[in-house]
Amino acid sequence: MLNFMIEYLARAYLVCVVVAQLGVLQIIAARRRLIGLAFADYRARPKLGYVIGGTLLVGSYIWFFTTYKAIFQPGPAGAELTFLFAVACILSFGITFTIAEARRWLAQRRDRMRAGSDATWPFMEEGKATGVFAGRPVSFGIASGFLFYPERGAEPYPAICFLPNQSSQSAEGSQRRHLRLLTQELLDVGFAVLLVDLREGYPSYPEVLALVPSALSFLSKQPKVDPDRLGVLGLGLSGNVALRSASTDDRVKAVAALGMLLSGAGARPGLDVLREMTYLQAIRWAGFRQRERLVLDLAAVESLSNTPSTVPTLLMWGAMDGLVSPQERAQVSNRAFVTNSETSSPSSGERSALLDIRIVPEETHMTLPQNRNVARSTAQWFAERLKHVA
Amino acid sequence: MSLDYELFRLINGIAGSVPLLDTLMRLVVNEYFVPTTISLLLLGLWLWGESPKERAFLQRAVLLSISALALSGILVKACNLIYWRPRPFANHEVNLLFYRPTDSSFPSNPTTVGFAFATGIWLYKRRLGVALYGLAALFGFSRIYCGVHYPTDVLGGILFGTGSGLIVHRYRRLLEPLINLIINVGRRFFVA
Repeated sequence: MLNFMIEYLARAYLVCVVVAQLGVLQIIAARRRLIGLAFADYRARPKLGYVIGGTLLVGSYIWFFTTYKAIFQPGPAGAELTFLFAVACILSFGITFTIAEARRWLAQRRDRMRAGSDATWPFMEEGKATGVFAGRPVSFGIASGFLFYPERGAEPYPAICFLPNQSSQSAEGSQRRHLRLLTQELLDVGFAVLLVDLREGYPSYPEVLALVPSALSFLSKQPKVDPDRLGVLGLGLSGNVALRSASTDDRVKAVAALGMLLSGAGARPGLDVLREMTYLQAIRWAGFRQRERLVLDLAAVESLSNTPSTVPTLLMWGAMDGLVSPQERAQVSNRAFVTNSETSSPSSGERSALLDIRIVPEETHMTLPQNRNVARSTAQWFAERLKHVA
Repeated sequence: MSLDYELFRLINGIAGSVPLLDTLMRLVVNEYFVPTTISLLLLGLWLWGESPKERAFLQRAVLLSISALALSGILVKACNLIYWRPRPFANHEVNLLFYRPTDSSFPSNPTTVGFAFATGIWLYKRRLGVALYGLAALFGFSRIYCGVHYPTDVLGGILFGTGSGLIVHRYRRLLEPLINLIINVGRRFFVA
């Protein structure tokens, strides 16, 4: 097949280019914080990525060009060189994705060993959890979930309908830690929490519109819950669902969306998804094909202008979110001040007091809900707006 | 003696007298160093952009420079069918630091490749394009230094390569559907 290249030289060249490409990929991974391409955690130490990448790149060149004198013999045709470069691309990407995935697997295994039995929370066997985290499995309408009551505060409790993001419940147990973190913070400030179970799959549109109303109807019927103080919290795509529900259901007295998706582009982020997850995770994530359609159908941003101006709304994103660009986030503020002709027209200052947009430095789409300060501030936000509603 | 040959002798005459320079020129002149370096730069450029919009802009530059390379290859092949020039070492005593290529001396194929890539990138990223022009010029110079091309061969390579880049840029709209398809497929597989 190789007419012009000496075979051993072709092999050596292939090795050189694979290693050099690995170096380029590490430099890119460090520069753009792409954990799906990284051999190590470059987010905290980008210089490490540059050092590793530079060493691989320069090292491969030095090895090849000082070892093989045959490079001065009649050389490869352009097509042969292109072919070898293309093969090297496939190999280098494959090696990079594999190492990044192995790193993630090891980190997860370490987390799971530390978390112990809590790793399966809240989907654990009967009797395994005790105290406030022994949520009661409940069913309502089209979904089911777990109902938690706080240890402090007086009945009836204000309550939060908590919708996790679609991927978190299919993830490994240790990655569900953020569900427990958020639930814990809400319980600590005196809220009852209905954690919706979406493991069976995300309802398609328009069935998904019934999710929050049925959850709120269930909560309203609980004797320990105050039906006049209900809030909705959604993560990721569930934030879109939460926001949409607030625009149509007047039982929602406060709504928070952490990391909601703002456009169809967020469902097709391309390389940016590797800022959030490894390649294998990205393939699984992309398997949920309804995502883009749901973002468009839910039209959560448009629904902001239909949400009553009296409903406090919290929108939060990580500054490094790979699925929502800064330009998209900036557009949200502008659209949020558009009111429809039927509502009275508050001044923009009035609306801004009820619409809270927060960008959290250094956090990505996936790490935002895992941040303890984010969980605490979200719980505090709900507490300030719901605990004393008349 | 023609100006072309005089200039060739001036440059090739240095070969063999400064060992460090000889080593540097031999490193650059071979068919691996510069093409591999340019290809790695293109790979980095493909993945570099901060946002999807910036990445699409740079990916367009990469794809158009590859198109310029393809066009320059066609033009060189067409030229070789019409005009065939013997290498400097075929007719003269030269300081040869490389093997003896058997294809036509005009135009310099490596210079054509280098300038096609450099032009394609320069039209989108000026600074990087200038650096690539520098590398391509060094590649061309090394071919004269090592005794395998005349200066006019390198000049021909510059014209063919730069011309290909400009022609592709001028008619880039014809390539838009293919470029968009490649970028969209790349996005679907999270590599663009």
